[in-house]
Amino acid sequence: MSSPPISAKTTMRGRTTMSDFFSVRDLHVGYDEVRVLHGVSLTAVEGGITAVIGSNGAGKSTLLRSLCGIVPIGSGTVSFEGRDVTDQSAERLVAGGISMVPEGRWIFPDMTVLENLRVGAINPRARAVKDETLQAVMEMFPRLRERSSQLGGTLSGGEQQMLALGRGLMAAPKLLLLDEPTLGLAPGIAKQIFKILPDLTALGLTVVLAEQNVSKTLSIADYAYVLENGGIVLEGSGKDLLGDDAIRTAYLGH
Amino acid sequence: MDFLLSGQLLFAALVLGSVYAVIALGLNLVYGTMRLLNIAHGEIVMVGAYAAFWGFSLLGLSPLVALPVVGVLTGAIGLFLYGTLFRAQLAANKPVAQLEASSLLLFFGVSIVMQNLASLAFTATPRAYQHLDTVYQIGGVAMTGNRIATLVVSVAILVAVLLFLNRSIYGLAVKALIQHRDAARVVGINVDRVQTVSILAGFGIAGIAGALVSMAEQISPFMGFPFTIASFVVIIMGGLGNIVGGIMAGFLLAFIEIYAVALTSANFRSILIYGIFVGILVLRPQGLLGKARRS
Repeated sequence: MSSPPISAKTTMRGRTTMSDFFSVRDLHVGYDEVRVLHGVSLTAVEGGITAVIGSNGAGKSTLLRSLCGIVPIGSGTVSFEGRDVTDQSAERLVAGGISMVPEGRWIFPDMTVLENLRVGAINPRARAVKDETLQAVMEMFPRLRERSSQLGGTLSGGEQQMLALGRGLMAAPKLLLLDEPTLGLAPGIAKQIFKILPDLTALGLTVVLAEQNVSKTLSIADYAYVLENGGIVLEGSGKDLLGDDAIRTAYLGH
Repeated sequence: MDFLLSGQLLFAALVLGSVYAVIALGLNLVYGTMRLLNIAHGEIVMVGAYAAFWGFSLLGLSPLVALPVVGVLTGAIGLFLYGTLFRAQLAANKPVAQLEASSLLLFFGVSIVMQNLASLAFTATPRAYQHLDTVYQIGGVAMTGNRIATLVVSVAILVAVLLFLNRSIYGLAVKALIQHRDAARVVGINVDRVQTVSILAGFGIAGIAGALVSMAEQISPFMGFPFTIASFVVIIMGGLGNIVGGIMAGFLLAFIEIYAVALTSANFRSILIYGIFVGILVLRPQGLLGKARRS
């Protein structure tokens, strides 16, 4: 399946210029011989939620991992706050304000909840405001306060996801990349996570969310892209895509 | 069997345990943060011992005063090896198994080169010097000054490293890298810097341990190997990359060694250590104190 040209809608909104808050142009990424992404372009809605949906193996995780600097980018450009950040290291991207909450949570299992959070604020910009951020994270996730001296590895899946989110927020990001934040969680906890995400944008954060839970994701997304076989095949506002017949058949099963 | 309760054995076990714990801590830092199997670790102890020996013999420098210099010297060897052999491999994010295998071979070569360079430069004849060998009677236990100093300095190093790892944000970064490499990168840790600090510290404290050992034991170009083996037994016992577990296992191995040798004879030392090694690998490969490792 080849990716369609960038739709007129996007161009009309003027999202293709380099002065965009965060945009990706013609991204190619692969591991050794395997090409995973071929020519992905997207623009994040500043201060909103931009979703990337698609089935397992479509390349969502690879996309987000390349955007946070832990998978090398083959070709294409990534611009953030008007600057080209394509080849920056993960460390510099975090320092610049891009924070990632990875799929599988990746918390530090033998560090306490508090240590996990503290190390999240290791970049200099975040360290300057770490006490305030910690306060805010603890208010958002009271459960983390209760468990603050417990080892990360002893938390339940949902608590670990909260910890991963909290750790991502400790970096004081401007852009938060969320990779499958509800994967493997009980429905109740997934619902809780989906409820929190709009609150993050209220704090001024821009969110890029990769999810398999299509209906929930589209209902909170300002704009969404459908990724299939490493290319964007469809895009539009969350509402439009929810009503799209192709989406309903392929992802919502009705 | 009353001799088993003597303070003398206890003191000997504590001194040996603190040395094992320090040497193994260095190995554990290097393995934990980089997954490098430093089979030349004992040779770094040997270099530290010779540095202290020559400092004392030629310059009249007390090894205790020379400790920081020795640490910097062996730490610099670590930095050199890191820069030339491992940095690029680590930056390319090679799989763990590949790092372990290639580091094992490379360090094996390094170990042979260092042993033979030391033999060429210093001859293979064992050497010793006398320093702080006054015997103190404390609570009916005879202790030489150098062994007391060894215990005190080693414990101080262990405490300092543990405080650093648990209190400082940079220490947390070291622990984070040990526990989850990709997550460490995701949160924005400068992995190259943490690796540099870890290899500097790991090699530095191995050299310092060598300087301490040289005060009380004979030194030779081939003294390193038993320390390499003992420290591998220790870090496997404690769980690879588990810093606290490794320290506890250092003392545990020393207690087993000292008391078992007292019950049998010194001839059994090697059999004992290798026996424990094999036993742990067969029965509990994740370490006595370790949890089963997630990949």
